[in-house]
Amino acid sequence: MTTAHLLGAACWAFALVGLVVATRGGWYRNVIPVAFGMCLLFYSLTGENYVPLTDPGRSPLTTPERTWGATSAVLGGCACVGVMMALRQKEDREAGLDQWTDSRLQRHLLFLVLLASVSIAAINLGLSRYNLDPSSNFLTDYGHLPGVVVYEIVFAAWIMIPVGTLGWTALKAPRIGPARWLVAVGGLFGVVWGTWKIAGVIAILTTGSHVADESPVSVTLGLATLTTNIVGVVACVAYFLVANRRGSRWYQRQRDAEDAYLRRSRFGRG
Amino acid sequence: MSSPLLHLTTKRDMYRLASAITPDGEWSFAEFERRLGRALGGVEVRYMELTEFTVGDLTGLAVWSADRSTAIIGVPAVASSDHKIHIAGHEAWHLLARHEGCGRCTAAEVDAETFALRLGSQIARRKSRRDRQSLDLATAFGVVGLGA
Repeated sequence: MTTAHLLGAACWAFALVGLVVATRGGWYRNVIPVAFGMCLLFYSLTGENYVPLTDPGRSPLTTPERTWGATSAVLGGCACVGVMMALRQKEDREAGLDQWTDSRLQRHLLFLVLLASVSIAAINLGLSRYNLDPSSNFLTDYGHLPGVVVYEIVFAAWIMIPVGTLGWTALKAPRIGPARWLVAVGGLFGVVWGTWKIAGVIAILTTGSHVADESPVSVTLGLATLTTNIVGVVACVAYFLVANRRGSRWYQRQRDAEDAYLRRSRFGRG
Repeated sequence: MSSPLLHLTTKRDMYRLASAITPDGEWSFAEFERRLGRALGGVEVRYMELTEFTVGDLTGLAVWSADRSTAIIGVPAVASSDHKIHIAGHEAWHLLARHEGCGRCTAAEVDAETFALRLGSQIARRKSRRDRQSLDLATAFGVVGLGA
């Protein structure tokens, strides 16, 4: 079994985690975990799509594979940003409104979905207009084409911005436990990865430098982003469940004690 | 007769209703009244803090007006703020589950107390902005229904 096989299996396992989160959200009719589960699912599928790049003996990725990889990243990123918007605006919402009646949130989500749709259209248009042969050095061979530049920038942006925002949000949420640092580090990896990709595109456009697509920096950072984020999320859930159980017991003891006091006082037996 | 599916469905309903009547930001009884009224199908809910109870062991009450257009929840004025929320949650479940005259009905009381614990422990851990952000993020991560 090669490293690529192991990484591929890990990506499918991560996708399963996303599916479980989304299904639980669906059962409880809560749209936020549904969206976040979809984010994990699509990002895992993105990772799985690019895992063959870790195999030295692989055949180059085809254009449809690249199109799917970037499309799934846009879908994952859209779900992630949607969740962050809903969480952020929840706190500042006017009294009497909720996620279903908050027109500001609806406007922002509509704009987000439109942006994701335009991005997917740009990726498809950008790559499909050229008849590109599969290449092991995609950026070096085709990095000068405007459609490929759009593909690379859109792909990188829809990972670095959502994942960076998730990492920052996790950092400001101390109650989800120390594993939030893992999510934050995952966010940092994502930002560094995206910066690396965009810098590579700019370098090829401006100086004609040679940047191999299967660059170990890019592949390692990309998979490290996915792994640290999903392991971090699972660890946060485990920590939260233990802390929640402890907190609930403490809360119940407090209520039992106050209830007993009220029953003994004049508020009880009259 | 209790089955695992019934248990899961009740747990889900409790989660959904607890979420429906929990204000997004800081706790306020005015927002609780409004949200509970909506969850009850558009009735008016009045929350009252009572200075004295004179009925047996009761520490809270929930009653409907004769035409069922208004529901009243009463809690002891001397209780701590956490306990007032807990009692209000307990009584809210009696209203939501349409319990009638169940002051001594064990099964209804157990369900109401379970709901109150779920709601109250959630509110007690949502006091600061950071707490709420943490719990909301944990819910997004998939803790939904397990505690948040």
